[in-house]
Amino acid sequence: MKGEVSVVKLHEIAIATFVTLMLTVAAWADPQAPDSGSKHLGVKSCSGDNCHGAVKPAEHSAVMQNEYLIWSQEVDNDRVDKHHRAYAVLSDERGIRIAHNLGLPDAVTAEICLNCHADNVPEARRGPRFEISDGVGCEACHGGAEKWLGVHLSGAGHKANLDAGLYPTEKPVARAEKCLFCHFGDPSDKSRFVTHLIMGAGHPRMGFELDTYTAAEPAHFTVGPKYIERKGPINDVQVWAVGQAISLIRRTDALLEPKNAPKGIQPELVLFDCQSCHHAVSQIRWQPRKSTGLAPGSLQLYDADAVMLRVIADRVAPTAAKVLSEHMLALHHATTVNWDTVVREATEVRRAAMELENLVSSHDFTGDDTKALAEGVVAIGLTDDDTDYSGAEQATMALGSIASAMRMSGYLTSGQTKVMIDALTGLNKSIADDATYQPGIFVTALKDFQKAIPQ
Amino acid sequence: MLAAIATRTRRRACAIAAFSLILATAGQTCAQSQGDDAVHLGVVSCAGNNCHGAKERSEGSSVAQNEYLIWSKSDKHHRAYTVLLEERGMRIARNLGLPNAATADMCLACHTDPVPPAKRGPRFQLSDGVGCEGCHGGASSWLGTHISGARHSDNLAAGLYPTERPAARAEKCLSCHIGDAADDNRFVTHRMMGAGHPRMPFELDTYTAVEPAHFVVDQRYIERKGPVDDVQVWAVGQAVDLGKRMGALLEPKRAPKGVFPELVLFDCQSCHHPYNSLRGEGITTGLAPGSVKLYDANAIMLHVIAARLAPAAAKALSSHMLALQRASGESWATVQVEAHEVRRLASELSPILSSHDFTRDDMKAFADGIIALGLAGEDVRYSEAEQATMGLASIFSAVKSSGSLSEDQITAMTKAMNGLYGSFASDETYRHEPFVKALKEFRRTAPR
Repeated sequence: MKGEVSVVKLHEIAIATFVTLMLTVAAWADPQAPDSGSKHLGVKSCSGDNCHGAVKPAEHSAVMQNEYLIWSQEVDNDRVDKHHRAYAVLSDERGIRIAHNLGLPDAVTAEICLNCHADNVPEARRGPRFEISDGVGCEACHGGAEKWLGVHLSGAGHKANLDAGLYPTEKPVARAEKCLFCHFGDPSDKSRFVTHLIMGAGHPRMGFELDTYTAAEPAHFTVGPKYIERKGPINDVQVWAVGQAISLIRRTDALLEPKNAPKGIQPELVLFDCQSCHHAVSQIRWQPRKSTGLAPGSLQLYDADAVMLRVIADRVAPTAAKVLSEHMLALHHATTVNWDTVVREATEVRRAAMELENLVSSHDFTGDDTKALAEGVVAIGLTDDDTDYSGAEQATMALGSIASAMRMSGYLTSGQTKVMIDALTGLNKSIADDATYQPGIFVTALKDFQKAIPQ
Repeated sequence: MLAAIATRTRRRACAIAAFSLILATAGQTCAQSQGDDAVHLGVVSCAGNNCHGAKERSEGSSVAQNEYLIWSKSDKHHRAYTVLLEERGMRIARNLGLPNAATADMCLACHTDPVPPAKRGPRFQLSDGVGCEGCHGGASSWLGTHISGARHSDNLAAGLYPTERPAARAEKCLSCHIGDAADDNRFVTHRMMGAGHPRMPFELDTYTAVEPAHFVVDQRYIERKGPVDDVQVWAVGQAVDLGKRMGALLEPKRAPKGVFPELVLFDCQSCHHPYNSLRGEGITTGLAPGSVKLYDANAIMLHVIAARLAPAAAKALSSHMLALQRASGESWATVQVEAHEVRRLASELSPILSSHDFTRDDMKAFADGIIALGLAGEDVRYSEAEQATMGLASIFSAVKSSGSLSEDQITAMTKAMNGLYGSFASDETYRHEPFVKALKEFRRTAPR
């Protein structure tokens, strides 16, 4: 499934005219804020066949109207929106096993599971048609509809909907905040953060990249002229860049959260790079990384988002890039000193990531930027600075976003597009399985991608 | 390697009657520093064809005399220096920032017989790897006595290392096979593992057999050196091993640096498993899922042994091991308190095991105890499966040596042993269920 993400994205997103309109993205610090107090009316309130429950895309409407079908369809297992199954999986074999290992009677009644596997608003805020078993339904992302459904139905326009409380998922920062609220979690909320305890009990690893995951969800919107008219243009590279900045901010939040401070000699391992430990002892692949400076046999903080953000900053804000990379190096080193030093450096990294979030969310990414970013991402792998699995995974998703932006902006001819899709397929294959991942195969695929970048 | 272990049982030509001689294994506690101020004369000094360099077993002699040939043809100790110059050795050196593994003390200390230049005789070669005197001690003080055909006790008195005594052998082997945590040049840290050093499993009796042993326990051996009981070698090895592991936890040099403890003291597969393989989290450690677990397979084996021979110590061992694992989630100071207690118990058990006369019933109880670990319903971890199998192999070997098994029984049990070894041939693909199945098969073939 993951192996097809980037290719799918290129196929699925229709080409739109690239509009160089600056996006206005206000700071959504709390992804729940616009929704506070509003009742959630349930998926059924949205899925009428003349609303979002059409069987086929509508021709003359501003939106496709088949959004419910895309979200709920079970016909094609590879294309199912996992949000729809989020509650159901809690009762699957794995869900039962995780609950058992955590000493929970049942995953479907545990807050710690429900907070991200359902739209778990308090009882008082559930409308009569609301069903917890709908999983992560419409209002989990778009906000409780009580206050805006009337306005929305009246056809008042997108801005009026937003004013009434619809969540602005089209804005990269807001979307990042919303998605990461579960896809990374809220480190200060012990019922909303997947710790290594939960991983150890059997929870799968949580890879994430905002732009790729939007496409792979699969997206139930199409960026066409009507979309752009109402919501502004979408630039995949910007969505990717903002996603990386906010991901890094969340990660530093987690390091700064006192609940995650080491207990005894056991640090909160979920903040570390999974494959730093989880590889077979026979698979020896350590090599020095100048961006971590760590000795062999060290556990390494997950830093693939920081590495990507540095590539982005190198292009759009070189001074900030330098600050970020110095503090990341210091943060890695701090893990060999003590937790206080980790906290101090995480604070600095957070500051740098915040600054970059502002910069990238208002930056107008040009075709030249996109090309430079593609070259920057490729260079990371080719200079051996980060060919760890997590780095390869993020680089592959980044190149998928970049390819998508190039295609949407008309930067690629159809011949060039085909070559790039082939190169992305190779990259995706090289990271398909972390257990058998070989840096050499990834690097070869990266070289093929490099050739596909138009000169 | 595993295939070699699996065939160990065939290689043993032990035909010991039921001897009940108590071994005198008094305080051989410090293998590497004790009694070896002698000059090391080099492998060449031992390898004469009328000494230990015969081509074939010598009929009339008290020893086989082909020891050099066995060592130089099939024993990894012989290649210990050479491997430093091979691809892996070079890679490890590069990753550690060393110019060359073959000139680095931290490699040479265990990949050769690392005596200082002043203690090297004219025929001594560092490139001989772990040679005769690496284990038997520098020969300058005892070679004369030895060549004169003196009794074994005279050789020992002159400084020959008593490798036949289980506790002394354990100390000697483990001085490299775990190392000395207090000596930076003699301890494989997780940094070295991360640089590419292979994992170091060890079990005294099994590793003696697969070295391969260059001695045969026959009538003449027993006359000169006393009987050898595989179960005793196994049991003593477990106690000494556990004591050394606890010593490493207590060593200030191995205290946590920064956020992490010295990871080499933990169970490798506790972290090094693919996370997409859902594995059971046994509750034998009392730790929550997702915790890093200290290596405890020796303690588990020693508990099985003590449960039979010293029940009070067994109970204390199990409660302190539980507390030790729990302490890793509390503080390093608590870890040290508990490690100290576990080490005390291991060192109390070591002399008890060294002087115990192991009976058939003891062996049966140990085998039942090990098998019960796998049948308790909790997942058996890779490191446990590995030690359990080597433990059962030692027991099997001892029972076989006692002459009480029929040829058919030996064949069936050897097959079952091979099944056990096969069930954990790769830590990557290891699963609890095939191991338990193999364990049940072994139980089926074992005489009741």
